[in-house]
Amino acid sequence: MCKSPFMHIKMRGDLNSLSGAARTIETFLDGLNVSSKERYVVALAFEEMATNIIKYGFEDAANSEPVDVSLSYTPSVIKLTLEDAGREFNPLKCGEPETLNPVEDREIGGLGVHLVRRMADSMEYKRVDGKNILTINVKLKSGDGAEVSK
Amino acid sequence: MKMSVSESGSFFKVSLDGRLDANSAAEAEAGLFDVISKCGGLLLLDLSGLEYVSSAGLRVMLVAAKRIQQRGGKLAVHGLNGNVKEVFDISGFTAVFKIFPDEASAAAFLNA
Repeated sequence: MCKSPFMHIKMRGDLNSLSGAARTIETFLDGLNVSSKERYVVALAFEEMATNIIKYGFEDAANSEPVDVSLSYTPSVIKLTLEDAGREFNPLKCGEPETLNPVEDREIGGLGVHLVRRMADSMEYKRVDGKNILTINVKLKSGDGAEVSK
Repeated sequence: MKMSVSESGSFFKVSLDGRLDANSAAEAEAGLFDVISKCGGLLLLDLSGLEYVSSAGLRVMLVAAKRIQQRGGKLAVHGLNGNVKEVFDISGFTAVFKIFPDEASAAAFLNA
């Protein structure tokens, strides 16, 4: 193993920084033993949660304190952690969106948190010293965490 | 993301390839609206080259579907790959959109 199993980025709160961070995460996952589905879930979890922080966490995210993004890899699980000093927001307390309405009645948006909650294996949220700390776990089927298939 | 548009008889076909995410959503929305304004309301969306879609991308498809519906048109989708299919299922889009197993059946629906 010649890759570091841990990465950390400080991300500024704008869309360009978001896509830059997404590419850094992709590069980190390259070469690790991660399936296409697991890569998708990590990328989605990062995008949805980081977008929420940028859009709703700050009055002016681009000029606020950067968001700390870290990713750790073991053969059984990837842990994605987002830490921000924005408004208190616990995504585990979001309601479920209406997903069965016909097209003309559907609310636009509100799906991101729902998708991540359904596709990731678990999420933990803490509010510590004025910061939101969100950890999302994606179990790796090729690793030791393979006992449960979703 | 790469978007390609072609005209096929009575409808337009749009292929969305690559990643439809927060970064490319605005471009995809503008492109789709442009096609919808020209296509008379019949649109075939080919997602066989779509590797990744997030809620920002789903929102674009929902907005496009609403606009087509307002014009009395029809939208047919085909080519969902495994991961994209799962996102459609979880978000309820599989029930909301007309999804077909291949281009021929999608075209038949638009031409009916």
